[in-house]
Amino acid sequence: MIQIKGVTSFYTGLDDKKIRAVDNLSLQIQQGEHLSIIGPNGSGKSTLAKLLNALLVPDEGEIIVDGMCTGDENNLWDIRQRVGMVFQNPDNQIVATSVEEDVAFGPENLGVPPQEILKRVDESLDLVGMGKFKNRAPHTLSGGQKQRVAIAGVIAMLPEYLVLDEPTTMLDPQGRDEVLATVDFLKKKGKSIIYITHFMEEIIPSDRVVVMDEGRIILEGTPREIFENSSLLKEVNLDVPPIAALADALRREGLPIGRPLQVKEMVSELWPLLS
Amino acid sequence: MAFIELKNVSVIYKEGTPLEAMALENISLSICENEFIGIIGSTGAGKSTLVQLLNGLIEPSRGKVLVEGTDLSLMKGQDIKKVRQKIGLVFQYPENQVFEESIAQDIAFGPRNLGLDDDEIHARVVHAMDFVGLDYETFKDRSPFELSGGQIRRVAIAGVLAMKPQVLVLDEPTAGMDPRGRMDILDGIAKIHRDLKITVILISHNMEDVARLASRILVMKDGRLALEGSPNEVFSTGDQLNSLGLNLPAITQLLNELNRRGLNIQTNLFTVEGAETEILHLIRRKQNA
Amino acid sequence: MLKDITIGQYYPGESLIHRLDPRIKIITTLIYMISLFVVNSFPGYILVITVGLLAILNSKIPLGYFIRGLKPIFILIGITFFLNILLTPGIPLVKIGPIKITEEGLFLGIFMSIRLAMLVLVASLLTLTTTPVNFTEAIENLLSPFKGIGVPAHELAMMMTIALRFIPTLLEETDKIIKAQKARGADFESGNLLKRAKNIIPILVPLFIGALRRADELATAMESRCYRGGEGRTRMKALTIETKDKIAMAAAVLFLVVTVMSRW
Repeated sequence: MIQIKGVTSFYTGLDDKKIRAVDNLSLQIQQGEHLSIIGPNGSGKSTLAKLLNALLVPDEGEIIVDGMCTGDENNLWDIRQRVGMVFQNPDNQIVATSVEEDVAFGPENLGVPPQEILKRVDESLDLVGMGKFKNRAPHTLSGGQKQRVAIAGVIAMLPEYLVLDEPTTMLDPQGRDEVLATVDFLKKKGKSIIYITHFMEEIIPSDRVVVMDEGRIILEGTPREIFENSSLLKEVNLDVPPIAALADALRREGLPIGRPLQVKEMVSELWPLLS
Repeated sequence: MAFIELKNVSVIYKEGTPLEAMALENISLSICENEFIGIIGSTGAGKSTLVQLLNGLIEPSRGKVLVEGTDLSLMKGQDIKKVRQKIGLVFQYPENQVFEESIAQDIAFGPRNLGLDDDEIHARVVHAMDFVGLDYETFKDRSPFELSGGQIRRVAIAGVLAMKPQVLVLDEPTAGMDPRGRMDILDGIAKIHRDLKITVILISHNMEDVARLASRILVMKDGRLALEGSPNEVFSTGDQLNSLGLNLPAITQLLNELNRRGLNIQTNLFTVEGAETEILHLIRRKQNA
Repeated sequence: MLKDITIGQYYPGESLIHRLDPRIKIITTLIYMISLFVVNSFPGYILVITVGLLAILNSKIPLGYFIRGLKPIFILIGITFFLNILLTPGIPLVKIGPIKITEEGLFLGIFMSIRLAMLVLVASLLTLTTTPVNFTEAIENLLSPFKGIGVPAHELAMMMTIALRFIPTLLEETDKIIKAQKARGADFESGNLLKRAKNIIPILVPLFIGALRRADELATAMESRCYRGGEGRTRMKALTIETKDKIAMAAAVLFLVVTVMSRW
């Protein structure tokens, strides 16, 4: 379990002004949970991500990862091994000159024995469907493939929690589908997923959603519950996926329509009314 | 006469080496004045190569590119420069190309390269900034490196607008932006097309955006022009689009599915409002029957 | 031009040269380079050139790659050739005004050009047949005995890895920036030297800022993957010396002895 207790984190903006990126935020993340954190740019969600694996330490409050406080230097490497991070730019997180060497980078840092590293690298690459690309140079891969390699690199460290910080923002639709399918697969394998995004469609598969704005949580619930608050979402400059928006609009016209999120669900809602 | 014309253009990278790759294959196309063209297609389909042909950044391996009737391959340095002024190109992630100390200076880079005098440059910078919604007095002296993602893209667009192009080409101008930033940029582009009456060519991955803004859509696949027409025409080809590796807008998918189940419903809609009207219309008709 | 540099590119293959241990390959390449400058007799040159060409043929890499690798130094070779021809004293062959071409000069010019060309060719061969991963690991390995006297073996190898990893990315980015500035009317082809130098500022500044941003993000990513220097680190694949490596090493030593002896 990750416990975030009253955490505030400042960053220094222009003119040395101190700005609250995260503002007195409290949140608990359970093991095995798929949590999405959504918010517009500058809402503090990426800062929150960096706080989770001690890349940043809270200015106020504390974060406890499986009983270990992120503020304690002695826990640093245990926490980073437990909380794996995947970042936005696929190019800037691949270190090595071949796919398999990059996946090995984390375990090597942890001092894992060579035989065990070989095993983990193969397993992780198979898990993200990149086994065939083992010997390729990173710059010859597509964005979606690079991002899957980055995920494999984290998986090979055997983390408890996987934090993905806007992993699809810089990808094309195909790359996005690849990453989403990979995340879905990892979820089925029982990994805890903390998925940070500003794309509303991508929160649909999660168990719980937290909406952030100006460093605070302004809404929390299941994806369906979140989409019910379309006016609040629009206020903080977030989109409502078209199907949810259409359902919303038709409901306002007095049609008896539930809360569909996907095309299929919407078809079964509309069919009795139209046929 | 078409403003830009492509005649049987092919682009082959590294021709004659083992790494030879066909980027574009036999493309013929004409672009008229005051059009709004959307280009869609998956990565590697040749979209970026296509737009870089238009202002001579890439030369065709076969075929011809004509701008106002003149073949680009016959042009010398100064003439090519003129073409680049007429056909302004905003690259993907344009924040990676700003370099000046202040925003005003960066926007002035293009006009200065055209050899304009200082008064004219100043006037153009003021006008371009105003047009993209950046207040001149507030922003002129700021460093481009302290702007937000959306602001810096507007600086890049203003930098091209200040060259007073007749065609504005934008390569995925909203890549990596959040919904609000995306809307702002797209609204700005619509305004440029409307008010400045110039041709806009927009490359995007987002079907909904292209459908809403463009009057003509080009769908590219593996270096070829796979489909061409108005948004209505293109989206009514449903399955064909899917086979090109592109996802239909969710709304269109919904209408297609209802149609497949035997409902007589219009399927060439792509906006929430359009679908809402159509569905309400059908329900009322059913109630009246 | 940038694309012509073959040093630093890997060409996949299964040849004997490809399969040699990278440490042995580096050492034998160095030995070869030394012998290039040791030989001074005609038979010596024949021997050195033959051995070099045989190694190149063994790699089964298309010769075009090697020739492309030579392109950037053609001018250097040319200058060396002419300087040697013109400035070496000896028996004159041809005399045109103050210019005098001597027999010694002609030979020296040819041999110096061949030395330079072979130097670049074997350097290309080394990098073309060695994956960047193996190359950097070999460097780290070969330097590690000198850690005691303050040689940062691991850090150097890590820096090389990152450099090799990002060279293609940065080249691509440079290409994009050049095009983007050209689209804004920038001119990189005309003007005098000073003007041209000034004209590359719009390329260098964005490139530099981009590289800094990448470095920053990469450092964060490495830290989050528990990177904390070479201490306590393991490696997935250890380099191993096999019989063929020992034979190659012995052959290289023998080769050096023969070339040294060929001087007398």
